[in-house]
Formats: sequence, structure tokens, C-alpha cells
Amino acid sequence: MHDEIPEIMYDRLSALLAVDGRRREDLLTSFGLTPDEETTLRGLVNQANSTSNFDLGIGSMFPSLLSGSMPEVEGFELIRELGRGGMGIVYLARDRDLDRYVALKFIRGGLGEGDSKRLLDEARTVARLDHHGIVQVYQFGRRDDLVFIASGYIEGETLKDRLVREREACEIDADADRRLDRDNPAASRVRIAGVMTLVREIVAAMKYAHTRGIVHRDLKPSNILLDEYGRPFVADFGIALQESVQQDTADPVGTIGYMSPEQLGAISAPISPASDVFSLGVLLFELATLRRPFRASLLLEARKEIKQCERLEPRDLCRGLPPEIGQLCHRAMRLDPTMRYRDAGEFLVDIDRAIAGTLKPPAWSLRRGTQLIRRHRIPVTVLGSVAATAAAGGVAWLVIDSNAVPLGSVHFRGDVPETVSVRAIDPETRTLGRSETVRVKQGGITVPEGRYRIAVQNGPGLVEYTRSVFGGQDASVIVNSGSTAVELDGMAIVPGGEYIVGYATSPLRAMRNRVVSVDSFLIDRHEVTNAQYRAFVLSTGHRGSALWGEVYDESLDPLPVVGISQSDARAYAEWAGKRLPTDHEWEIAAAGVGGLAFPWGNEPQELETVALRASHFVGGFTEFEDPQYLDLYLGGVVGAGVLTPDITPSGVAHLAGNVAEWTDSLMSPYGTPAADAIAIVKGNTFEIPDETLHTNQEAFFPGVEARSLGIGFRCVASIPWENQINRTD
Amino acid sequence: MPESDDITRILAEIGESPHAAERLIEVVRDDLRRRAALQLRASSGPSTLDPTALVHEVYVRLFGRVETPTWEDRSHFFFAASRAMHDILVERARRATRIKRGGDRSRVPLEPHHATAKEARLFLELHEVLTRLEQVSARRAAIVRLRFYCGISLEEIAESMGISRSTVWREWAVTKVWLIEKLGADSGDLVLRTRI
Repeated sequence: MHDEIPEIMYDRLSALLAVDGRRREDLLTSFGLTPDEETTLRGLVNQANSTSNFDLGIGSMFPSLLSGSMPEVEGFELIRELGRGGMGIVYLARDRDLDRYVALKFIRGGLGEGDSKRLLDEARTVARLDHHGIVQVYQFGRRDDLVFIASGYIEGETLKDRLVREREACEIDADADRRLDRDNPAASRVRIAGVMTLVREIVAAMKYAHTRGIVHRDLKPSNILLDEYGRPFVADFGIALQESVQQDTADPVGTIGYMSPEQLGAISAPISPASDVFSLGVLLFELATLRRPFRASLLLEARKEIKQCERLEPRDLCRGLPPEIGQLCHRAMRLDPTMRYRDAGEFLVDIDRAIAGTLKPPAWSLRRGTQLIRRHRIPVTVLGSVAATAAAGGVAWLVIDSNAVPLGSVHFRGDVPETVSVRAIDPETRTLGRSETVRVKQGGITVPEGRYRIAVQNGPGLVEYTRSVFGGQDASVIVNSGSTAVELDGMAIVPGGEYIVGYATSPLRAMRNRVVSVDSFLIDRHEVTNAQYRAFVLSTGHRGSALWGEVYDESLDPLPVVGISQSDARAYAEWAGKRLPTDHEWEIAAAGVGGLAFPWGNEPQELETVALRASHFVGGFTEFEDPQYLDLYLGGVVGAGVLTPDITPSGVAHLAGNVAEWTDSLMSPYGTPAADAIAIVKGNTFEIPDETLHTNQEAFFPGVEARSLGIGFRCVASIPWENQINRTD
Repeated sequence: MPESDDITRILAEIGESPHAAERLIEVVRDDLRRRAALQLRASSGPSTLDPTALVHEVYVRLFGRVETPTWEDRSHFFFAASRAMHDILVERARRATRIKRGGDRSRVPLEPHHATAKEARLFLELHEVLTRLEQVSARRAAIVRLRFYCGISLEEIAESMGISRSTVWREWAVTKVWLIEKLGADSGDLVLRTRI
């Protein structure tokens, strides 16, 4: 038995839990503890914040003591009950063959023979949903008259749990009518930016389901699971299944308070993806205001209440919210489904506009016009050529051949090269294909839709550009031969060869372990500084960092630049004759030939300069004008020359600490370079209670145009083939 | 079988007679035990004894559906229920360990009960630790009984104890850590959530 922790430590723990952030640190200092005691106390704080079986109730700790019997299902070892609800009971189980944990759900109620075939058809469709934002269904089966579903197990909490916590933190009652003042914590920009990121990911996941013809029908906070990094996973497509076999049922299936007017029977309309859009609108409303827009609990009342849905204005409940939130909610929560966003894909487009600050206020006088354009979106350039056909009564142009890969083009401006070498980037694995030399015709090249790295020979050097090319659209590259003098002084060489990247237990398939082969490359020893970025801004007129404000303060010079988007970072790199690292390159540089867990080795250690949180992501609808952001930044980062423990043996600094870093890579779970792909960020050390992010973990994925207080970048440069250096081990 | 009238009378006596609280626990315990036995016998499919459901069922039976009892009544009931649930489980755990040791002469195959025996030992250990906690802080011990043994939500606990939600949350967080530390390392796999 180890030494008992004295009772006074628990009193201190209690005091610490009552405050957070800096106040917690200050309080901790005021205790005047020995280093050992402080370590113990920090450990207790982490433990208090983590979930144990005490939280899950007695059934999880003593299942066999409490149980008559656990159900037996061939191939699975049942571990404990996770929860039960209207749908049935869910157990945590281990798949014996594949040795992985699954959530095993038994659906309540028997099914007839005819039903079961339909159910299985639907089940196959749901099981084919493979998206990083959807809890994956692995298997359906039957045991006696019980139907069970095995799906991925996400360790963490539900969005409902999170809402409860946030309401407590902001002292808000979910159903209160009292209007919140402008300075209320719920409307803090940092929080709202986080809400937008979260909703964006949920909507992107639903877009994926909608394009496959699947309507969820029961989107609500308790069906959104959050993993330990707070990433959302849409769970429980079960009602979609049940509904398909019980279509003639008179009772609405779904959850009052979240389901659409047509599901409630308040209006007569078929259930469609727009029904999910309504629920997603309710989610956004509730997350933003921390209040429930609908409070009726009985069906008849709910039918009445929901008819007022178009009058709801989030800012009536919560002052200080950006107007875009209301605009998105209005459009998603229209009573008439045909007036809403047609599906999650359409919703996503406007969410991205809101995040980027380009969402136009509704032009009421033009509403009919915009409606028409929305319903028949076709690229403007195509419009002219097909107008004649359409006018002649033909609608053939609406038919899209899904097998043909559409072509797009890349145009070169500036010093247009004669030939370029092009390598396709695999959208899932992010690995590079073979290099092909392509002749430039009429200032451009035509390629199938996809993502490419295009290399232009420029004097003795090589300048590389990464571009996503969409069908029927032009991407552009500005070649500037004046900027090829890459400063090699500040860079370290990383040997080429085969490396293992990713980690086995990632919930994202695209992030799991794989062997990749990289050419050797050079990487900046430290992150790009404000001074370096400012030189680029002054020379090109590109926009500056969102953090800088009206007058640039030169004391920022040595600190890492933040408040720039992935595309800003890429523009800088191209200007500097370099490029952004791929996520694999970044990981290899950080983990080294030995594949270390941290830049310095395999043992975690406390870093002092890790105060910036990923959640300080701020979208385009606001600048960092608030002085609190500058304070956070100044308190959290160190300059380029300051040495911290997170330095690799080859002298690459600040890979674990300081700011997180954009990589060149996108996550494109759809297999195409979709416009809603998300950027991969590496090396952040946001305050996960007990650990620094490992080198092989990715951090998080805001949209490509998002600017964040916590994200900067560094550059890499390819090494010409004849000078390649390979790993020797 | 207790009648609602009985309960109301006992509740009224709490505060006056020191025996009333004991009597309430007894009544609730009898009812819980009967319910638990019924539930286990009836369920042939997947089933664990779900304390939350049981407690609520007993609650509805005792107080009826019509009237909403005052929060004092509710808090007395929750307290009685948590004590009762705890007692029932201690009985079970003692029985389970006795069988394992061979105290019970009927031959019981050891293997299927192995998990049960391990849980039972931890449960009795928890029972002792909880008795110690009672000395340190009666409030914390009460929160454990309500939250852990009865599955009563922290919100409800806050309401019935008349303290703020954030205080309950904090007390619960500290108490969990305290319990985990006192229970020692060998109980870790039962106490801590499986990391995947």
C-alpha cells in the first residue's frame, strides 16, 4: 500500500476545482507546496476531471453482482451496460475475433419475417456509412427475437452532457425566458467560434449521409457523441432503420423538441433530408444560446408550439451573438421544408460562409430570384451554353454521368513555365503518386478532378504548389522566379525512406497506422515569425495576421505568427520558395527515425509554453480585436530563438509546444477533393488534462479558410533528387 | 405491503421520532428487495438489475403518481432508498464471497462465479471505505450513496440536499478521487473506465 494522501490535499483539490484557468494556477501557487506535493495535487485534479466507473453507476462496476445474466452473443464478450433508452439496451462489448471494443445495442421489440429483410437492406446502407463524423456500424445480427447492432465505441461524453456543463458554467437555465445581456459568457466569441466548428463537423457528417440517401430522423444532443478531443460523432441511425419497417405507424418517431414539423405531424409533408436540416438548426440554436427553442413535452402542445418556429430569434435570448447564427437558424428552421436548406450539404455551404465571414444578409426583395438560383445551381460559365437547350424544352443537362471523372484546369500566371511535373495526392492516404511531366498549353494544364502537387523548375531550384482542382473550374498558380533563394540556414534535413505514421487506435480510418515513403526534405527549425510573415505581407499586399490590429507592434517580431488560415500559410510558403509540410512529413520530422512519441523521446514531460488552446479558434466573422486574445497569445508563446524542451535531436524546435501548425494536408473523407475538406493541424498541445499530444496524433480540423489564434505554421522544402539523403538503420 | 398512508405517516414522524428514519429504510428496503427479485426472475433476456429503474418504481408505488411530494419527502425517500439499496447489495456481496470460500455447502461451480467473487470483494471493500468516509464527511458519503447506489442525478441530489449544483459536482469529483485512492491499486480495473 502506498502512502496515504493527507486529507488536507482533498480540501485543496476541492478549492482548485471551484476555479479554473489562471485563477487555478494562482491558487495552486498560493498553497506553497513542495514539488512532490504539487505533482500529486495536479494528478488529483486530472483524476477528478476524468470519468471513472463511479460516474457510470453501480451497474458498470459490479455488473455480475447485480445481474441475473448478461446476454450471450456469439463472438462478443459483454463487458457492461452503457445505457438504456426507448430503443433498447446498449452494452460495451469486445469483439473476440477482431479484438476491438464495440457498442452492442439490442433493439427492443420483435420484428416480423417480412420486416427483417427490409431492415437488413437498410442496415447494409447504414453500415456502408464510413465517415469520420459518424459512429460506424460494424454488424447487424439476431439473437432469438432480438435484433442487435454492433457499432464503434466512442469514449467520451454526449453533446447533451456538454450542454449541461456549459449551462452550469454560464448559470443558464435551459428553459428560462430571461434575456441574457451582451456581456454574457454564452455569447463569448471564443465559445461561439467553437460552436460553429462543432456544428460544422456534425453537418458535414450529415451531408455525407444525405448524399447516400439516408435521413437520420432523430438528431439531438444525446445522439451526438464527443470523443476525448471533443470531436463529434453522429450516432444512432437506428430510428432511420426502425422507421423504414414501420412506415405506416401513426405515432411520430423522433424526439419532441428536436424533430421537424412534418415529423410531429404539425404540417403535412414527407420526411426528407430537410427534416434533418430542421433538427440541425435546433441544435445550432441550442448550442449558441444554451436554451432550447422548443419546450413543450406533449405532442399536441408541441404541434402548436412548433408553428411559431419562424419567429424564433437566437439573439432575443442571447444578446451579442453574431447575426449569422440567426440567419442560419432561420433558414434551417422554416416551417415549410421546401423553404429550408434542402439537405445538410446546402446548410454546410452557408455555415462555411458564416465562418469565413462571407455569408450575405438575406436580400428579402430578391427572395424569389435567389430561390430560383438556389434550386437550379449550375456553374455560371455553363449556363450560357446550356440555356438554348433548356429553353428548347430539353432537360438533358440535368443528367450527370456519375462515372465520368470531371476535368478541371490549373492556370499559371507570372513566369509561365513550359513544362511542370505533377504528382496526384491520394485524397485518403495523402501520399503522393508518381511524378508526370506535363506540357503547359495556353498558360495552363488540364487534369482530372483531384488534388495535386505541381513542381515548377525555376533556375536551379524547384518551387512546388499544392492545388485542389474541381471539375469545370480553374485553379491558379502565380509563378514568381524572383523568390527562389531559399534560406537554408534555418532549416534541418530530414532523411528520406520508409516510416510508420499514424496510430492504430485512431477513430479515423485515414489516420490509422500506415507505412509511407518520403523523399528527404528540409524543414524550418522554428515556426514562421511575425517578422517573416510581415515581410511577405509588405511585399505582396496579402492580408496580415488577424492578431496584429491596426498598428503593427514590433515587439511581436520574434514570436510565431498566428491568426492566418491554411491558405494564407500556403501563400507565404510559395512566396518564400518553400511549401507547407504534409502531415506525414511533419510527423516524421517530429518523431525522427526512431518514431518517438514526443520530439524529445518517449517519456512525457511538462512543457511550460503550452498555454494556447485549440479551442481559441476564431472564425472570419470576428477579428481578434479583444485584448484578451493578445494576452492569451503573449502568455502562451515564446520567440523563435528561445529553447524549450520540445526540441528534436536535429534541432527542430517547438514541435510540441508553442503554437499548433497547419500542414499542407486535407482530410477528404469523401474520396474526392471536396470543397468542404478540412485541414490537418499537427503538434498542438491544447490542454488535454494529462498528456501532451503525441507526434503521431493529429490535432483538429477547422475549415481551410478559418483563422485561429492557436495555429501558426512552418515550411519545408524538397531536396532535388540528386542530393537525396536516406535514413540508415 | 406498505401503503402510501404508512409512508406519509412515517415521513411526518421523521424529526420527532429517532426510529422513524430507520423504519422508512426498512420499508423501502423490503419493497426494493421484492421488486429486485421479481425483476430478475421475470427477465430471461439481457438484464442487469438497474438501481435507477428500481428506485423509481418503488418511489412511484410509495408516493403514487398523483401528488408531487415535497422535496423534504423526496430527499428522505432518496436517502432511505440509497441506504436500502446499499444494504441489499452488501447482503448479496457477503453471500457471493461465502460461496467462494466454500462456506456454503452446496456445490457451486467456481468458474462462472469468479467475476462475481472478485466484484463482491471489491464491493465489501468499498463498503468499508464508505464507512470511513462517513467519519470524514457525512455529506460526501451521502452523495456517494445517492449517486452511485441509486443512480440519482447530481441535479436531483443538489435539489434534495439544498445545495448548488456546482457544489455537488465538486464534492462528487473530490469524493471519487478519494474513493479511488483508498480502494488501492488492485481494484483499478474495476473502478477505472477501460481505456481504448
